[in-house]
Amino acid sequence: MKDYKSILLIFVSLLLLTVSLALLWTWGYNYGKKKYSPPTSVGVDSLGNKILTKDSLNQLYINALNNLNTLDLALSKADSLKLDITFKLSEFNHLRDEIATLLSNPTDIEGLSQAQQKIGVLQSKVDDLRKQNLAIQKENKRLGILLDNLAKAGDSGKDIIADVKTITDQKLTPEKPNPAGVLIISDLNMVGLTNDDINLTETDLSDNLNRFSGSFLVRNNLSQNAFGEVMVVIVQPNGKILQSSSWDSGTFETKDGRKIYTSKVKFDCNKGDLKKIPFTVSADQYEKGNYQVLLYQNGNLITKFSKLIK
Amino acid sequence: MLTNLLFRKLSLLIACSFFINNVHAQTSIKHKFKGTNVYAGIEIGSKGVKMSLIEVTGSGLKNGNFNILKDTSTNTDFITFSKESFQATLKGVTGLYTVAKKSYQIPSERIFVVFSSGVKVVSERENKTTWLTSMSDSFKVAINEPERTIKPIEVIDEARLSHLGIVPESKRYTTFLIDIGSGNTKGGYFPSGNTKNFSLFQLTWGTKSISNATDKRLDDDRTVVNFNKQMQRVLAGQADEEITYAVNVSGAYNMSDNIAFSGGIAWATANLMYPELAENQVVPVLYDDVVKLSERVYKNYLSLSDSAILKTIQDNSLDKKYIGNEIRKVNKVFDQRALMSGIGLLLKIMRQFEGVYEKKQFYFIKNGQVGWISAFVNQTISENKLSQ
Repeated sequence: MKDYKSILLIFVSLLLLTVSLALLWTWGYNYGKKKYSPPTSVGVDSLGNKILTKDSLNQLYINALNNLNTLDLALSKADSLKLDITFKLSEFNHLRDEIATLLSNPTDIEGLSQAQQKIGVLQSKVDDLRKQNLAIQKENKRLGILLDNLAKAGDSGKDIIADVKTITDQKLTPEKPNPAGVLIISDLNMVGLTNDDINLTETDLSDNLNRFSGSFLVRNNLSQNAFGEVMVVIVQPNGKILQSSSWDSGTFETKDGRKIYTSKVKFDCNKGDLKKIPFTVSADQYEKGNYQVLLYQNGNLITKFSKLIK
Repeated sequence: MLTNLLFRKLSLLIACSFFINNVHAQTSIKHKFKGTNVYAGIEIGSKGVKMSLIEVTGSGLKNGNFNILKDTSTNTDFITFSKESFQATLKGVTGLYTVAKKSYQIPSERIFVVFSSGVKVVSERENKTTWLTSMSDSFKVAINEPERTIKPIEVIDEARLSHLGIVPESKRYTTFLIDIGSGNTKGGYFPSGNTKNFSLFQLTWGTKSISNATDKRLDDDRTVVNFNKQMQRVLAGQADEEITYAVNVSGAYNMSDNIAFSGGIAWATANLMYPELAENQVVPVLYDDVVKLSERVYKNYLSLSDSAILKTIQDNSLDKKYIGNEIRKVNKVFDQRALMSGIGLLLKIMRQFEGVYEKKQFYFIKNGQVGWISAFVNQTISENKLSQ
C-alpha cells in the first residue's frame, strides 16, 4: 500500500515538470522569434516613418513653388528680359512636374530620394531667380523715373524724345547735365547744290545755286528705338530766316522767345544705330554772303554751322 | 428815259474809272517766270467780287503749277439781293474786268467770270435765281461782249478746285482742306490718289451763323461773359452733333495727315497767333496755340491790338510796319465777338482731329479765296488746250 502512494507522487512530479518544460519552450520560442525577426519585414512603425518623410518633402516642394510665384512680378514688368525669364520659368515648370510625379508614389523609396534632390535644385534655382527678380524690379523703377523725366521734358509723354548732348567742335551753350544721354546729334553740315540737267553738283556760287543740302548724325544709345524732331533755322546774310515754302516753315518757342524755323526735320533711329539725317532747302534766289545753319531741339540750340556763298 | 439811261451809264463809267485807279495803285505785276501767260479769274461771291491774276507756263498746264500774281476784292453784299447791292456788284465786276483787260492787257478770252457756289445756293433757296441772270445780262451789256455769260459753279467743283489751287502737289493726297465761310463750311479731300474722285465735306455752320445763333440766346444780358456762355452752348448743341457726324462720315481722319483751314477766320487767327509769319500765305498751327488765343480773345482782347502785338515781336529783321497793317486789317474785319465765334467753330472742328495717339498737322491758309479761281482758270485752259 505504501509503494502505490510513492508511484503516484513520482507520476505527478513528472507531469508538472513536462508542463513546465512545455511552457518554457513556448516562451523561449516566442522570445526568440521576436528578437531574431528579419529586418526586411514591413511593420506598422516603419510605414509610419515613411509617410512622415513624404510630408516633409511635400512641404519643401510647396515652399519652392511659392517662391516661384513671386517671380511673376518681374515677368510682367520686364520687356527686354521677358524671353530669358520665360525660358527659365519653363525649366522650373518642367522640374516641378517631375517632382510631382515622383511624390505621387509613396512606396517608391528611390523616387522619393530623387524628389528630395530635385527639390534642392529647384530651391536653389528659385533663390537665384529671386535675386534676378529684385535686380529687374530695381532696373524697372530706374527706367520708369527716366521715362517720366523725358515725358516732362518733351512735347508729349508718348514720344521718346531724348535730351541731346552734342559733340561739336563749337560749344554753343554750356553743357547741362544730360538725364538721358542717349540720343546724340552731331556733325551738322550743309552744302550748296546746282543742277546741270543730269547731275547735282556742289557749288558755292549764288548764281548757280539751286538748293541747299544738309545733314547731321544721330546716335541712339537708348535701350529702345526712338524718334524725334529738330528745327533747322537758316539765317540769310541779310539776317532774315530763309523759308523755302510757307508749308514747311513755322514758329517754335525757345528760351529767347519765339523763332521762325526754315524746316522741321523728323527722324527715327533704331537702338544702337548711328544714322545720317538729310534735309534740303530751296529758295527763289540766294544772296551772297554767310549763311548760318542752326539746329534746335525742344527749344534749345544744339549746334550750328556756317556756309559761305560767293 | 434816255436821260436816265445816260445817267446810269455815266455813273457806271465814273465808278469804273475810280475803281481802275484805285486797283491800279496797288498793282504792279512782277512775273516770277519768263515767257508765261497771265490769266484773270473774277468771282462774284456772297460778300463781294474777287479777282485773281495768275500766270501759267507750258509745264504749269501739264503739272497744274501756276503762280498767283495778284488778288484783290471788293465788298458788295450781293446776296442781300437789293438794288444797291446789285449795282455795287455790277460796278465791282465790271471794274475788275476792265482793270484786267486794260491795265494788265489780258485778252478777254483769258478772263473768266463766275458766280460762287454760295451765291447759287442762296439764290435757289430764296427764289432769286433771276437776279443771277440779270447780273449776267447786265454785265455783258456793260462790257459790250454779247457772247459772254456768267455761270455759277457747283459746291463740289468749288471745293475740289480750291484744293487743287491751294494745296501743293506733294501734300495733295494727304491733306483735308476745310473752308470756313461766314454762312457755311465746305471742303474735302482726294481719297483715291487721283484728282477725279473728291470726297466732299459740308457743314451748315459758319462763323456768322454761330454768332447769329448766339445772339438769339442773349436776351437782355448782352455782356461778353454771357455771349461766351451762350456761344459755348450753341457749339455744344446742334453744331457739335453736326460737326462730329460730318467728320466721322467723311472718313478724313484716317486718310489725312494734314488738316488745312481756309476762310476769313483762318486768316485772322493765323495773323494774330503768329504775327512773325504775316508775310506767309500758309502757317503751320498747333491746336494748343488756338486754345490759348481763344482764351486771350475772351479774357484779354486788348492784348490783340496792333500796338500790343508789335511790342511782343523781338526779331528786328521782321517788317513791323507790314505786320502792324495786317493786324489792323484783322481787327477791322473781326471784332471780339466775331473772333470768339469763329475761333470757337475752328476749335470745334480741329478737336475732331486732335487725337490722343495720332497728331495731325494743322495749317491755316490765308489766301484761300483765290485758290479755286486759280484752279478753275487752270482747268479751263487745260480743257481748251485739249479740245484744240
